[in-house]
Amino acid sequence: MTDPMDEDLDCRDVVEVVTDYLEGGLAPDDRRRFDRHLAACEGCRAYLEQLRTVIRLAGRPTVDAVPPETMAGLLRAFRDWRR
Amino acid sequence: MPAAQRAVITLRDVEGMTAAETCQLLGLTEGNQRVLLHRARSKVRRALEEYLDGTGVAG
Repeated sequence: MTDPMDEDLDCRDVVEVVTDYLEGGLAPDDRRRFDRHLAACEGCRAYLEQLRTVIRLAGRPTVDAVPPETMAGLLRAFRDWRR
Repeated sequence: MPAAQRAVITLRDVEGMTAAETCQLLGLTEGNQRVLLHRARSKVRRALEEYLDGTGVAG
């Protein structure tokens, strides 16, 4: 992700790789740089928590799960898009 | 939100499927799936931020 000779991530880097971080897809060195940036940056800590909130809210049980018709429609739209 | 991003975030975050399951179901590479998930989550975060800013709830 970054040149091994680079020292620190900046906030733009954090935004760019935050999904990789949450997926556990960062190399150990990059994960350490990410954590080091977070330790010093309240804004990025807030951003990470906002993303965790997005994920948590998305996964909250609702009265109905995704109805089968909606799921079918989503998959159909996706396949149409790919064509 | 484009259909591909909507499909990925629905399967991953709403339905709780794994990355592997999502890639298999949608015929995506891991890298493509990750990019779509990233963009979708960013959009949802932004929409939530704008919504909360509108209601004056968030600081």
